[in-house]
Amino acid sequence: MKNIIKCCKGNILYIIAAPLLKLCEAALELLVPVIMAEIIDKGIIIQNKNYVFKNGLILIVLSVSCFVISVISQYFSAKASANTVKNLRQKAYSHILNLSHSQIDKVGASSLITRLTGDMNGIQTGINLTLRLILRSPFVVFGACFMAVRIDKNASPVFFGVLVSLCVIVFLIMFFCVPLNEKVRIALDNVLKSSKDALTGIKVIKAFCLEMKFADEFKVKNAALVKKQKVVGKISALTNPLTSLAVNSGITALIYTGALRVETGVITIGVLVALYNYLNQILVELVKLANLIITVSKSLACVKRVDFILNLSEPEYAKELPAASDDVKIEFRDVYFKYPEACEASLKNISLSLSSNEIIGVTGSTGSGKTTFVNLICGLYPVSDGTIELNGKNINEINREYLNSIISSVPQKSRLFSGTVRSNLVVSNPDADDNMMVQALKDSGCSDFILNNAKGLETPVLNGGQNFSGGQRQRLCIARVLLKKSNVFLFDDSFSALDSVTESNIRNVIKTKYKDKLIIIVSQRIPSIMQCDKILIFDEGTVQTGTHSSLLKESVAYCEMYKSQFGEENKNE
Amino acid sequence: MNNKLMIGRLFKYIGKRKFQLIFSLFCAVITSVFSLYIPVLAGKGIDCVAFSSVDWLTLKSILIKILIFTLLSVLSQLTMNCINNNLSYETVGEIRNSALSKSLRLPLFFIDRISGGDIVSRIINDGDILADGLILGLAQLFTGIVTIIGTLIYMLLINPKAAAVVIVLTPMSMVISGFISKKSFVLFKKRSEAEGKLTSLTDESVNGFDIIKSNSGEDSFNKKFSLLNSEYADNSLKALFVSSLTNPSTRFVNSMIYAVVGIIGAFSAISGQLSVGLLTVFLSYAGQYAKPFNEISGVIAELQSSFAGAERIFEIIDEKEEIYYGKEMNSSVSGNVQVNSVDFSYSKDKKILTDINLSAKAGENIAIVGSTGCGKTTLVNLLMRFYKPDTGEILIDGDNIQDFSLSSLRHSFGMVLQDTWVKTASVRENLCLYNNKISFEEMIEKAKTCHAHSFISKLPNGYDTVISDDYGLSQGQKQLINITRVMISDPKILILDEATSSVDTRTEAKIQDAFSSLMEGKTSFIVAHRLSTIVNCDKIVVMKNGQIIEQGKHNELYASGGEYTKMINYAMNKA
Repeated sequence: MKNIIKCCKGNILYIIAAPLLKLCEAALELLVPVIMAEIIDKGIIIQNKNYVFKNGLILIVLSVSCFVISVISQYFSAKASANTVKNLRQKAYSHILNLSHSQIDKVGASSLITRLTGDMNGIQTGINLTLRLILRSPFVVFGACFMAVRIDKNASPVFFGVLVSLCVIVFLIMFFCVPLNEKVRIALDNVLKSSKDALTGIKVIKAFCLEMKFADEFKVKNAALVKKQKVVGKISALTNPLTSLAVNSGITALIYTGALRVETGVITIGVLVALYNYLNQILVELVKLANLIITVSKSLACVKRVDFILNLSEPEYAKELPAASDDVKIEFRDVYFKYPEACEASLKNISLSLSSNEIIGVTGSTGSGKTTFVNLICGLYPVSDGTIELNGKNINEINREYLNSIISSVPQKSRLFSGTVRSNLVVSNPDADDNMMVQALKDSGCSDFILNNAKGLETPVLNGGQNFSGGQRQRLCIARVLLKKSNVFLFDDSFSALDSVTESNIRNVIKTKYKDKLIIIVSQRIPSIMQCDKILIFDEGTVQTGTHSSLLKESVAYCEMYKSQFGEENKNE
Repeated sequence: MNNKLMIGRLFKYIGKRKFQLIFSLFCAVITSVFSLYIPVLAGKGIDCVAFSSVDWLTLKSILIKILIFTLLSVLSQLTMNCINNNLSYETVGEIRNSALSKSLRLPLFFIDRISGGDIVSRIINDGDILADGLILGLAQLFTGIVTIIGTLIYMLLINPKAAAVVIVLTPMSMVISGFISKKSFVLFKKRSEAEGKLTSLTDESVNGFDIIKSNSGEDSFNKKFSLLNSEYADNSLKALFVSSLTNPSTRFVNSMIYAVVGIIGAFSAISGQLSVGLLTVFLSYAGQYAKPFNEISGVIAELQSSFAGAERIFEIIDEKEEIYYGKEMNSSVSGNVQVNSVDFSYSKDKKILTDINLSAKAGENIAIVGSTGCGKTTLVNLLMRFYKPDTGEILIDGDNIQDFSLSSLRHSFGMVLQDTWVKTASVRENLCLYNNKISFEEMIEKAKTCHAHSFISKLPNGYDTVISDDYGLSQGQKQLINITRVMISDPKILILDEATSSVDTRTEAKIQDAFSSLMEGKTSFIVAHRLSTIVNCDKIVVMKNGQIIEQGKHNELYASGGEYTKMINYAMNKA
């Protein structure tokens, strides 16, 4: 909630003016029954046509001014809510970009997206409606009561009774409906999950002939949803009938007691008519108020979800800037690493050293710890035990941006942003000129599909790079990284979708052009790494270091991998 | 589909609950007639009080009537609301069920065309819109119409002159609200477009988080976001403002009507044509009369959008499903597969497969190799009858696969795809999806053979851990689950479509062991780019541009010096 208030900045005027204007409108509306009563009492009964005419004109002027005022206030509240949510969304987005990797993992990408879009809309609607009704509704209800009591004190018990019973009805319905509605939403989530599951796995389902089974499972979840919806439906079905019961009983009581007082001459008929109108006005306004409460309770849930994100503390990044140097030395000392929710350590007792002018190959089975090793070098997670040093400084104490500037990595999954090839390349180096880009594209083997293409650097990239094949995407990602001026280049399984020719070409370019850098190539394919200066083979969290020939003799895991890829007979080639 | 047709379709689903619907309509009539009559009674009551002499006898009987009618209308309204809710939720529930079970039975090309995500959104979001529309439509459309007719009659009876004013002026508010809703529809559409752009940028930045961070691209992405965010906020403001004008405008028209009717009514009262009580009733009618008009215009807009939603769901339901029936495959099928001059294309302008001829004897291992896009996966899809060949035929033991029932055909195949898929369910359920008769011990045995046991036993609840696509399993681990699943289903013919590409070669070798023991005497098709997987196959099929260019054993092909030799040499890093 605090976050929203902060985001209101610059819109205070609108936020204050909108409800106040609404208040004016309501106040003017309350005058209508009073004037009508005057028309009846002084105009009709005294037969004064002039008076009727004059007051009738006042009624028309009133309705015109109500209209003008309410249009202005609708504009203000729309403006205030749109602007506030715009600020909030921007804030949440920059905040997300500043969070750490593990924080993002925890919340999940799809949840972050719905929080920035759907939930933000929910908040916007909530603010908009609140601004419009927060002063108006209570004012109309209490104002109508006040006016009624002012013209006839004796009517107060009836008004009080109607008011209290309406409050009780609205409150009780809210009390039962809000938690039940949450349950409906959970049930709807289940239905969604079930259909999503079924459709993403459609090929497997068809291959296994499981159509009926999945349809049946869906039916069960759907039935649970319908059941919960019906329960909520039954309770909310009470709203209208109960409110009209309360108001009509009030009307009966009002006419009866009013008649008594008219007979004794305490009030006039005009007053009785006015009282009757006030009671009707209260009814209309309360229905609106109930809708407001439902909307606000929904948008409060959205506020909670957005607040959760904004309250995640941004990780404190160390400030230390090591002395600038082109040579890089990375040293692992007795490093242990365990993921927060895992039972077993992913890396155990890793000690090794890597430095510039080296090409390092990293290999190992699925889940052996390769990717974890890479993530630790990039400083994405703090180690559980031991230290990692970069040029003698603990990597977790080094300034984040500095670390990012000297280490570039091509991650396993190739990610492109929608735009053009150029806009994707400048992400890694905003100062890159056309020549640099063309060179990077040549080096990464993109000549055939980008440079030889009429549009060249302006070739469009669709969402997620769908218009390129997996291998083309990987090559573009490599080009992007090559543009960056770093000292360490990390290729995490980034050749997997390339055919052998393209891959070996790219590796050769890297070998010759980036000789003086530290190059780390992670791959499951032995040919990709067998010529590296040093090979690290990971096995169940431990590491063994050597060259291709030494590992063939010393490492069982390496031998097995080799055999599995080349067959027995080639071993002594 | 036009509205009439749509209503007809919906009625088919409501059909079973026809009596509920009729009863609900009956309740609607009662409710609206009573709620119209109550103000009349109140007006008469006030007339009894006129001029300081109260007609107590009449007044009391009127008041008692008000209470009785109130009670009756409360009861009928409550019944109507409940019936409408149940009716709408049940109907939509049923439509959802048939949409999902239908979508699972549709041919794959349909799902390829409109994407699984879109179907989900049709079933969930459009279903919701339809339910909302139905509830509102049932509740307000009918009561609204009854109320308008009733009010008109009453007003004409009381004072034709004032009634004429109301009748002439009220359509004005409808014209205005219609104009506004047309305008705001356009604006909301613009807003959705802006929202789409914003969503995809958010999607990209959350998913490309690592790249943005590691390139310190926060600033430039913040700027991009800010641009789209402002665009969205602008559109949002316009849409919100214009749509929020409906209420003030209709209120304005109504209050003008109130004023004019008040003046005319007062003059009539002065000239003795109208009693004070009736004037009161008339005024409250003037207000009320406009309300159902506004509501109905709202309901019609709502119904329009919910019919649009329903149309999207019915599109799925009306689609032609795969042909499931056919003769049962003999359970002792030996697995001779014959592909005879098969051509295939997804769309007319681009041929994917041309003149494919291939034969696999029972028990043979066939490797299919070739560069990306050469048609390997398509060929495999044809075997499973996910698609139908344009020309030519595929035979199993001499019978055309189009003649078999789909279930018996697909039961005979076991398929592991490149894309991994896990169901949101326990590991155990995931493994035993097809064969749930297997014992727990046997299942563990199979999991061990597939090297899935060691990581499964490390999960918090072992085999009872509930996993899902985003549970945090690696691609390789998910694939091991998929492989174990097929292992447990024990098929006649095996298809591995790049099945082990996300598993490391060491584990792959072990799984190959497991598969080869499983496949003893069974036919298998292996699509792979890894040499190790290919060399030991009985036959290797090399594909290029949708055609088979070479066929034979590893040694023969390698010696021939063709395309295959080139591929192998590159792979062996000898190039």
